Amino acid sequence: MAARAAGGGRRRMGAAVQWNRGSRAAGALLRALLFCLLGCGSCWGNSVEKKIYIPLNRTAPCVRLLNATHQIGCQSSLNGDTGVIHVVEKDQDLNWVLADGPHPPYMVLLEGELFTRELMLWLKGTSRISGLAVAISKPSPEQGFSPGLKCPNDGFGVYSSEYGPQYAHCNWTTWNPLGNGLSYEDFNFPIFLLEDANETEVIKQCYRDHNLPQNGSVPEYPLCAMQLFAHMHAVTSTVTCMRRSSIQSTFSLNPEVVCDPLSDYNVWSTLKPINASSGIAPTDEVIIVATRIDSHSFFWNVAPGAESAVSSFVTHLAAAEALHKVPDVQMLPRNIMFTFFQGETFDYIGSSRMVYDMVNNKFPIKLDNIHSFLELSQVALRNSSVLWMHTDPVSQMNRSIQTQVKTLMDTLINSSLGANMTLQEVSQSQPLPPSSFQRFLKAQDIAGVVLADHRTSFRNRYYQSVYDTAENILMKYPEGLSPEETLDYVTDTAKSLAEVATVVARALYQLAGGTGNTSAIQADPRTVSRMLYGFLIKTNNSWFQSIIKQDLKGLLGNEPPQHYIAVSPLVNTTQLVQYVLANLTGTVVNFTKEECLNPEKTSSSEREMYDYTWVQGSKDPNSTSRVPFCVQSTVHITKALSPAFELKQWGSTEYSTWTESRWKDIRARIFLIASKELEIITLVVGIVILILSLLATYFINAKAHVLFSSPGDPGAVAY
Amino acid sequence: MGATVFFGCTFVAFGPAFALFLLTVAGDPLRVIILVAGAFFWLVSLLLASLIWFISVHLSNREDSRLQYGLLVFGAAVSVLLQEAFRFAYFKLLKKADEGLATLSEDGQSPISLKQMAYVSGLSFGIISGVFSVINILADSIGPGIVGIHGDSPYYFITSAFLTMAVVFLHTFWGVIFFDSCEKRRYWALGLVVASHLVTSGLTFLNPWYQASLVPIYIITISMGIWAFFTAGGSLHNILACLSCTQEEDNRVMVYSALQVPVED
Amino acid sequence: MNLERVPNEEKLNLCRKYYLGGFALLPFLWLVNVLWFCREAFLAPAYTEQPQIKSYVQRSAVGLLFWVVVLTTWVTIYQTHRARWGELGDYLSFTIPLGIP
Repeated sequence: MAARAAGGGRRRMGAAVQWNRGSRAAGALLRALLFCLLGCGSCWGNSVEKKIYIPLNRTAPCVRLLNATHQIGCQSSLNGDTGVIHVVEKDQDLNWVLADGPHPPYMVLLEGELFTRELMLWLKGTSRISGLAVAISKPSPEQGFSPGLKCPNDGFGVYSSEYGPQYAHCNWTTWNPLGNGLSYEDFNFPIFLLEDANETEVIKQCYRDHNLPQNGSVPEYPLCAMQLFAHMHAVTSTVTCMRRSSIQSTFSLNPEVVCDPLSDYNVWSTLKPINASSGIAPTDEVIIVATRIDSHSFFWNVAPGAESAVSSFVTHLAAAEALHKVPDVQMLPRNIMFTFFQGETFDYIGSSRMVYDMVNNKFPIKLDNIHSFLELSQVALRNSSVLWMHTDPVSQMNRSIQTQVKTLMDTLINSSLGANMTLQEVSQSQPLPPSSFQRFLKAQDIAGVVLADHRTSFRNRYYQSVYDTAENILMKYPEGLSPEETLDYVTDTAKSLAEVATVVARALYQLAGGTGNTSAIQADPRTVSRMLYGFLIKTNNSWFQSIIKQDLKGLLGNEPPQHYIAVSPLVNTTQLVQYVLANLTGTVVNFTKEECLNPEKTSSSEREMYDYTWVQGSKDPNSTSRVPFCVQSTVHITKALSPAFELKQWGSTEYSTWTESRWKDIRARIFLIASKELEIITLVVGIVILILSLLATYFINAKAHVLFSSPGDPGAVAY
Repeated sequence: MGATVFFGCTFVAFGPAFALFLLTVAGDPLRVIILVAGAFFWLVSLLLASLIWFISVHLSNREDSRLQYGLLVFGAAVSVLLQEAFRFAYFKLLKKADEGLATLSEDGQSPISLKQMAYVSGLSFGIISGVFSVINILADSIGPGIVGIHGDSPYYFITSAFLTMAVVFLHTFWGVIFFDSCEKRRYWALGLVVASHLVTSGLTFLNPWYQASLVPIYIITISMGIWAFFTAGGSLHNILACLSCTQEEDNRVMVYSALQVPVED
Repeated sequence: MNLERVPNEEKLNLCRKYYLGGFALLPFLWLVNVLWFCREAFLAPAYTEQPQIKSYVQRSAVGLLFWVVVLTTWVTIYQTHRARWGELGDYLSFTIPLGIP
């Protein structure tokens, strides 16, 4: 067993040592002992396992999330669920799985278009399914697909029986009519996403080779099967799992935490520096600009969120950059705060925490300091360049708020004059779409506007789904560009988002009391393209490389980045937003590395006001080394953990209570399985041989003196 | 495939070894000691062989798969030669021990005959080499899958188990023949043992062409078994005598048992 | 210890100690007592201390039976109702199974 236990890792030998020599190959013996002696577990794999299993490496599981009352997501059994693969490409294929097939349970390989609520609820009711692998559909489904809710974040926004009861529970408008709520269902079998078309093809080939019914007869063993491991530790609800975690950590010698709250950090910065520790004067006024930076999909850590998050926060970043370039910006009477909320998808984690901190004096800015609020919701899919201004009808019953909102909208409309877009007001009686602003309204009446590309329901047909990718916001690059050219290529999407950013920046300038000419304020379409490329296509690009800290190189990757909040801070999105914001709004200061990393040691009087980052800089075109430098910015991060966990109110209906279950093992593999008959035959042969050996040995041993006595040598009675 | 196949293959591979151990070795402490020490000798031989192979692999070009295959064959041959060398060393050691035991015992006779030692040491080599060759495979047989997704034979587990069974038997027979040849200085028999060991080892390189490896290996096993039987003092006459006296005894078994039970106790 | 080599008084003494020790919520002592002295109490040829040993063994057996009944009942109730008890069930558990209610 020791040999087996040591051979856990990958093998470096490649094809050199072939392990199909049966049990007797001396090489096997050598290797077996080598495992024991050298303990080289990390560099040797078990090649018998390689002959049996093909691991699926490019998959994403559906995991269990919990809130105050429910569990959602998927669960496999502890040792993984195994089933015979059946490929379902059209509805009729399901008959085999649900009724005709003789080898249940089946592991269904489902085409992306068929992944619908009806079919999933149907599969949920049968015991002939052991799991599901969903192949991502390319192109994205025509009819749209959103596993989110029809009424996102229902119950945690501002509208309730006390506040605009006629608007509560999306009574007025169904914001996400395509939402089928699949993400919020609980499945008792594992569901995996197959992200790689090649792997999907391998599975299908195995299916075609072994499982395809041949001219009407049932397929014969060995059959191709798949095993999915996604056993979740948490169960029932956040109340239960957090209680268990806390009991365990109090009493148990070997505490087993079963779930963690979804949490990360909000990123924020101010136009004029403020002292983050002592706060600002009660009379100071701040305009808050807000966007969310997270998204979600049915599958864990698959959240491209192009339209639902990236388009808006990229616009926001571009507007911040444009404003910082204005010369007289430090003279403006009002300050502007650029706020990037994390975890908004899960019942407003980021914004509810910031409001909670503001109310409890744990934030440098108080609610009373807020002059007005401007939120950028989904903005990329505009119909004939119209951007809609959503306002809250309930708070506008207050005259002064109404006047302020009117001013806000007028300023926005004025700023858009001359730009290639129009801003329009939605009907006065329509409530706000799901937005962070609602959490602020919940605490205090504030004048605010939410900008969005939709008038009523979302124009995004792939809200919170795996298909909300760069293609969804119509980002198209010409063929044959190098990565470097792609990074700087200004797409139409980038142009139109830059326009939005320009309008927002100009409006903010005026709202902050700026009186200068606004026509000079202009967001840079090239910056927008770079950000879109970085946040949607590939984070590992030369620009991102140059603006991050040296030791964070690992967070850049060649895959499209995902914007799921997760449970362990800081996630890539948050850090990247932080560095991009610092880069776009900060200034390069002449600090040494030592000073930059420890600004409290310098004599600078402004060190309380700023954040300093030592970034690795861009590559010198003539050499391979980088020129690092120090960036001074007003960027801060504050915790985005729902106050429910701060208050230990795990059953809260006021604050988000989403937690993510823990797990030990998530993986998928395919292999062949033998028929029960062959297994039984093997066992019977084994038992027969054992019994025969016992009998034969007994008799030979009993008769040994007769058998092995040679007449000439009576003394040599052997056995 | 699960526990069914695991137990099936384990019984096939180690059923005979278990029966032999339980009924002929376990009852006698001296035989158990010889068994464990023999296993240790085999392990040392494997250690040396694996070191040689490991070093040669590290010194050679690891990208060259043909060369590596050659090295594997070379390693197998070295391992076989080392095993036989250690069998000889163990023989020498047991001879010495035997003399010591003889002087210690009251009647000046060794409590264990050389043939018995040969048999136990052969069994020990067989068990330990069987364990080392099949344990990885048995561990993988617990999982749900069987070999074959890359087109290999699905009978991999059961053939491996049968090969292991043959290995256990072969080592036992080789042990008996080897010790006897050493004692009687019949060098041609020693050569034959080493050669058949090399051939058996080489035959496994024909896997997964199982009929080409299993059948010859079992032919070798049976011929070695017959040879070992005669070496150990068996003869056709003895077999007949045994069969006949079994019948004779069967008729009287009641009488004997009635008489013998209190005595044995 | 081989009981056959122990004098009879010593046997009685041991049996009494095990019987009394069982009252300290140690039913396993009663179990040992019953198994160990069963032969002495009921099968061995009669001797003076035997009636007393017999009575200790019998009482140990009754105590043991009581514990078996109590524990079996409790384990059954606990296993079938733990999930339903919710918070109480979690507090009563030393190890909480993962992934099931």
